[in-house]
Amino acid sequence: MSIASLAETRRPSRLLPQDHVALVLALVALPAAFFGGFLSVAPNRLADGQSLTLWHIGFAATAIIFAFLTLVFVAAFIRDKTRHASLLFASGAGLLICLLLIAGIAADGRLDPQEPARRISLASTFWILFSIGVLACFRGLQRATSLWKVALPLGLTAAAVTIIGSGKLNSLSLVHEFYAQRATFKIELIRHVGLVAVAVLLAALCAAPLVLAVAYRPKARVTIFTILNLLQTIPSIALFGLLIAPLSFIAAHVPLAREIGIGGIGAAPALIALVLYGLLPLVRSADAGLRNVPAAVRDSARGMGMTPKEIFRKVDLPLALPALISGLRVVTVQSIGLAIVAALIGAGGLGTFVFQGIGEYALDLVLVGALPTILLALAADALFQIVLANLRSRP
Amino acid sequence: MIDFDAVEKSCAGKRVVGPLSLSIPQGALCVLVGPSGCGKSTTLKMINALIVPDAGSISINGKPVLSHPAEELRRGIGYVIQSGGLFPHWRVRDNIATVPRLLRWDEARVAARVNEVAEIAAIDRALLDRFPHQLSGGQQQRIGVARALAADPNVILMDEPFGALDPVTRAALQQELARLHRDTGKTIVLVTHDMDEALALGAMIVVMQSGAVAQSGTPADILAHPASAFVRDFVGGADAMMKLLEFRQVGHFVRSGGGPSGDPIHATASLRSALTKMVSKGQTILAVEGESGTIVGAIHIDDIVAAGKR
Repeated sequence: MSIASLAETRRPSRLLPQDHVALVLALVALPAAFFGGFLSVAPNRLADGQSLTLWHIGFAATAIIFAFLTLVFVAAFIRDKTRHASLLFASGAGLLICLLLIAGIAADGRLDPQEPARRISLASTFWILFSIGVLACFRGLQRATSLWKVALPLGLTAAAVTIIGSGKLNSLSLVHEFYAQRATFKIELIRHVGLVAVAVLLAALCAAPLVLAVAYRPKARVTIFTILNLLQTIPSIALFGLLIAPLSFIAAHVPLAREIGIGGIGAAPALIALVLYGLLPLVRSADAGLRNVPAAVRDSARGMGMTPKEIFRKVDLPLALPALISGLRVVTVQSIGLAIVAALIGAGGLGTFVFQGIGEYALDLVLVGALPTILLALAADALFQIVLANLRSRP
Repeated sequence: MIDFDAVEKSCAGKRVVGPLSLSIPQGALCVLVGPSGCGKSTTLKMINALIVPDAGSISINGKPVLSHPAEELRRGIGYVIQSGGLFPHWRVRDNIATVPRLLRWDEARVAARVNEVAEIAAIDRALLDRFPHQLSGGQQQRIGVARALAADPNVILMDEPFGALDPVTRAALQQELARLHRDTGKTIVLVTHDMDEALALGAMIVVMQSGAVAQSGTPADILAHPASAFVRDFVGGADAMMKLLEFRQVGHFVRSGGGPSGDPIHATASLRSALTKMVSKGQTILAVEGESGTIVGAIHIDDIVAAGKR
């Protein structure tokens, strides 16, 4: 074999997929786009709907979706990293916007003034394609700088909000439900965020002494981890239940506690449960961070005359900081999800809509609670990622 | 001057060091050498109170080390460990500035001192703004030494400083350390398990065996007159003779009268290099030149063989 032909075989073919994730997204999306319901039309809120495929909705809609999915597919083969990322994000974002517009316009055309109770809701194909759009956007942003990671999703969210605000989606039952709940939505959203923020803050405050004990007192280590592990295994609903009795007792016998709002139901048990669940991930990640500080580094810190406090402040803490923030990230995202369940014991929050929706057999109302929760979790996750990427320590 | 007076240290019921009495003179480059587990590292760490002896006392210039608060003592003593032990989250500049900052020097003085020390330790200015992980092992070790020098301590302790380096880098840093010692006149106590490193560096070698001094002296002393079978084995058995030739100068073995003309050997060269030259030239006698380049006599192979005998 000559050198030239060797070089020939060595050069990878231009037609090899470069990004297997994008390839899988496109290949999963294509069949999903053409089989399965895109919208579901039901005579009223309770009845089962009749599903409409994308093809039923129209040729133009099908062609547009097909075009964006093809772009995702093409992006999978692009070697140039910047072009690959831009095309992937652009096609993902385009897919999302068009999905919303197509759903809105198609629903508009299918409302019947004779049938005011008719419900048009988003069905499985819409959600699959929507997830694929979101995943394509994420994949495209993966290597982007922090600025783009903030700006592009914010822009996309603003576009989506504008579309919803313009009334183009008003015929969809999801938007319908949202407007019906509008007054309480803001209150519950704030309550949800507040619950999570206070819980994470309290969890961090409670975790701090535990971390110190676990990391610097070997004897306390096993005990603390055993208790925290045990707490983590209690199902959340059971934990809420377990808290009702002691908190009711306290409320009944300590007037001050009752005055500041402690009771068997409401925010107090929810906060306590969220804090308890947050402890293990926080303590474990902080402990891992502190244990990963190389022994040689600590040895030289001591040998150069740092006091134990200085070693903690100047060496241990900064070196463990990424692990600490990762712990906070896990706990925040986890709490945003867990706080849904808190609605069961009267703590309010976005879970209110979820459980109300389940009770009324109204899937769209469940989504009014669930979708913002997912968005919140994603936003919190992105925020912590950005903080982690920009960590700098000063001597 | 560092004095160990009947120092003992046990760990988990087993005696690691002691009873140990030892005097390290001011300005010495003293190498503690011995097999692993002989207590050399423990001995070193007792000097800056990282380890506290069970009995006996250690003093620096007559002042017991335990009479200072431990941190204050350590800030006055340089400390270098294997692989440097640099702080991975600080730039090289900040690593070097560690002790001056602990001593609360003002920033202008710290910055000036960092540059000064970088010069002494032959560190490229460009490296000062890098992070440790961006440097090679040899560079990191050099930074470790610069960091130990930063607050200008009189005593520097080094625990296996060159242990993790490749042989070429290690040899270069050993030479560098010898130069640094000559230039600064600091008292340096260095721990190694490598006898060749000890011979290459040490003006004063302390061979340790199970927590006690097996022998201390100059390299030539220890090679020529090992105090025990242990020391003889440790310094390299039969090979020790060749090492010994390294420490003896041609000048001391010159016979009067000329040798073969051309390509003489210098009087300050070692017997080992004379032997090498003989073998490579196929001669048993070499002419010896003195200070001014004039021939002062000749060196005979019989004398080299005799010098190698103990």
